[in-house]
Amino acid sequence: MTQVSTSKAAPPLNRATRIWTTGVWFLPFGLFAVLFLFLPSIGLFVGSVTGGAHGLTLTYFGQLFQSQYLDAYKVSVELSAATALIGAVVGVVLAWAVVGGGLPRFLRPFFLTFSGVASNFAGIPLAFAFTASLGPVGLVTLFLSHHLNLNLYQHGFSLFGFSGLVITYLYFQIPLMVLLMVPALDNMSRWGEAAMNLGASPWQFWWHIGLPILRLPLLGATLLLFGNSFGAYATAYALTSGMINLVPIVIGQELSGNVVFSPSLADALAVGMVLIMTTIFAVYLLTNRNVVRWQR
Amino acid sequence: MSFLDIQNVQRHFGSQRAVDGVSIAVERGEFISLLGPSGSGKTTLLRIVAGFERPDSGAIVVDGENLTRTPPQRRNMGMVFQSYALFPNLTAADNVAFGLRTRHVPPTKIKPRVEELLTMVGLGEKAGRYPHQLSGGEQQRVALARALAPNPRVLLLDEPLSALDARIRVTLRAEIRRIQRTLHITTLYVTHDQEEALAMSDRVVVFNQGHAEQIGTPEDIYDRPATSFVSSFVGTTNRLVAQVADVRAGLCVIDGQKVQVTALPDGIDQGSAVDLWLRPERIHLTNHKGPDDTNQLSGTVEDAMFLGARTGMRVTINGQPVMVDVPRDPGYPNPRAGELVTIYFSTNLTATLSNAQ
Amino acid sequence: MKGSRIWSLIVGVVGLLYFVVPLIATAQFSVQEGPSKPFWAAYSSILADPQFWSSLRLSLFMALSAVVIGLVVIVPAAYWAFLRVPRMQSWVEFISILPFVVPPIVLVLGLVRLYGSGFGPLSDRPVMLMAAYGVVSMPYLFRSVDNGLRSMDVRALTEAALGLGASWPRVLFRVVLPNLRTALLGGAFLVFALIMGEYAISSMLGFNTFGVYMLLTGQTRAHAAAALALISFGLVWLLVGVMQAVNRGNVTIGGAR
Ligand SMILES: Nc1ncnc2c1ncn2[C@@H]1O[C@H](COP(=O)(O)OP(=O)(O)OP(=O)(O)O)[C@@H](O)[C@H]1O
Ligand SMILES: [Mg+2]
Repeated sequence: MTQVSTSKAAPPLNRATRIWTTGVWFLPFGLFAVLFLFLPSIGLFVGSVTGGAHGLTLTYFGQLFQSQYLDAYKVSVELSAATALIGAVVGVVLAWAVVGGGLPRFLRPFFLTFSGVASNFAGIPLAFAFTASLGPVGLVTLFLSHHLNLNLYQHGFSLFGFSGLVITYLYFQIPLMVLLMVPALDNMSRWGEAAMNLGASPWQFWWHIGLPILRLPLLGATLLLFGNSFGAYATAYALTSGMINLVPIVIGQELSGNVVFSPSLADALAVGMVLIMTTIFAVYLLTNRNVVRWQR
Repeated sequence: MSFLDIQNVQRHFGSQRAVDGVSIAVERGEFISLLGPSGSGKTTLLRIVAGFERPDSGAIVVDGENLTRTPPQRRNMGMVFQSYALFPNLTAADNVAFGLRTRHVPPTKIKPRVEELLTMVGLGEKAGRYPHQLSGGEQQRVALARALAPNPRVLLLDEPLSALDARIRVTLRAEIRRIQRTLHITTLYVTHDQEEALAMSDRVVVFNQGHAEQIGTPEDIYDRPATSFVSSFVGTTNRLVAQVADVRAGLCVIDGQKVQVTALPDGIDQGSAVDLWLRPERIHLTNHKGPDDTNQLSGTVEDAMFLGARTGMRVTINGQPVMVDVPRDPGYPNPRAGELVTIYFSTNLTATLSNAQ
Repeated sequence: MKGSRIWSLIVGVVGLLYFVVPLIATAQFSVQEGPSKPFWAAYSSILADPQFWSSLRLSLFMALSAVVIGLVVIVPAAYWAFLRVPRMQSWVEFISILPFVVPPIVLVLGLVRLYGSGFGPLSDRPVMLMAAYGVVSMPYLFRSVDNGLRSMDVRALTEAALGLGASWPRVLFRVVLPNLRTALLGGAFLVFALIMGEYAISSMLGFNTFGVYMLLTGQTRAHAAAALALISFGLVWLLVGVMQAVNRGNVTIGGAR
């Protein structure tokens, strides 16, 4: 009798305790994420569809399609796409030069460390470094005009415009690509040997084996590069003194009160950024899932 | 003239002599194992034969054709890698077909050939599976079929079974040997599992620090090890230090007890120390000891272990421990710890080598 | 074979130029303060600037807070999910890497909009800055915690400790955390590298962090700015170097863009 009653009384108690203990462990994490990640994001969304006298409205999202803001998105996307694509191609080639045995082996650790540093070296100091090299009186600019009689700035180049930003962003995009691709390429050499052993030419190997295997990692890494540049603020701000029409810069102008326009419009701009990043991220997750399956 | 001739191959990595002057002459259809401890240069030699590494000196000759400078693509050697290196984006069938496609075999001939091979390795129904949908053992079979598909002149296997569990290993090694016999294909098989090497091979090459210590049939390697490394690496063995008493007669003494051996190392002097190598299962116990009996040694049982069908004993003879492995029969109980015993062994089983000290 | 080697060499050399020349140019610029001044003038002026030190201190303090906050938040959740609620594992991971989706400028905008005023302590700017840095560092810290948990046998360790009569806090502080230490260090150094140069969030919240100090210096003193850039590069190298040493050669990825 007593046994039955204890076994009946016990489960609800255990269950409650279990929920409570579980709650304690997850509480700080959940609370932090909700307070500082989810609520602010939701707040932006709410702000972008309310605001002003309009009540619930899509006005501000509509305003995103005005030429000025549309242009900001366009430049942001173009900048990210350009640096992601160039960074991906150059990064893969560099990574293969190191992994594929074309460069001496002892260079490899140095090369990887340098990539780690360079991919983390961004923002204000990076802008300074490029001003010192490719600015109007930068070392490289002067070298080219004195020794090769090539005046970059007379040929329409400016470090403080789109092309300058691309060149500067590549300084962290290429090493990031290298770091992302080295593990995948490391695996490649054993398949390369297997293919050679079966009589395949390098061309046959890359076409039938190498590229199909690398396709998804390449796509995933390129998307990551895109996102990496899309959210970047400090480098562009420092280089152009905030004079370039990028979405983060426009948001920053509103936030710092330099240029006053509707707060709800800034919210809408921000929500647009999050939506684009979410899309990129979702595709990235989907592609990477398949990769993991293969590599086991 | 042998079919595959590995001639005095050397390969250094920096100061490390990975392969240090190895020569092996392999007959057509022969199955040769390269056996040796980790880092002894087996993989490096196999990769040199396959063409992935260049030897610093020496030559690889197949069927009279010097392939030393031939790129791996044109050597026509099938290789099974330790990690299999199956192409993850191709099905089992496409993996097997890969080597045929690179050789531009007409598609009508590829299909039956792939089927034939997959059936041979017992994977006929799994042709459409991707490597990640196959078990380790099945992947190994696909790797073997892939290597065999283009009819290679030589089959190279680098520890193909080391990633599998013990039971599968035994089945698969028999299967590999069966296929190799059927196809009569010249095979180099790298392993560090001596049982595998002894069970499968026509001949075994024992590797140590980049050179071949001994090349011989499994019986040679086991019964007549050429160096102390071989005798200690292959099987379990006892080392007994003895003094040479009579070089001509092959007579040694241990603590005044005589031991007769078939051959002493060349150029040995009377009175110098030699090592006698005795396998535990070749030692027997006796109750009769005459004063002049050779190859009979007295000692004390230190320890006796129950091993089911046999008893393992540790006997000390003049302070030297000797492992003895004798059949167990409850009707005739074996000596216990502390008892005095006499062991004997046949003369022709004893190998002697110069003392390493 | 030969051809590919030559190509690799060309690629390697061009890559090297692209990555080294900006550093050389910066170094060269930083030592040319003026004809009458010694070459170390820019560096000595920076080191003598109290603002340099106060901004560096502020950034270091903020980086440390971010690491502490991140760990306090992530370790218990990741640990418990790992140990008892495997279902939650992928959720903790997903939420931890979500900050990738929210660019820093958007994050700070959201925080200012929501908590700008009237939310008590949440409206304090330092709290907002710490919180934002905590969010930004979540993905990196999560990865190192996760690696650490995977590389040790958490379940056996925990059960052994519980079996010996340890209380939960004791298990956490005496068993789990000490064993996570090396893994955590890697992530912590990365977060340091990330936050030392951070600009967007701190400038919007009106703090003189190291990143903001660098920008302000650049607007008035170009040579000093170059010197700062080089110092900052050295700092990142140091942090990444330590991180790599701790992680045995694995480079993790991050950065303050
Ligand atoms: N690419 C390389 N660079 C430098 N050293 C190498 C290289 N490849 C092999 N070695 C060295 O050469 C020696 C022989 O290596 P190898 O791989 O041939 O050994 P192994 O007999 O196959 O060992 P295991 O049984 O562990 O596979 C080792 O000491 C190894 O460190
Ligand atoms: Mg090996």
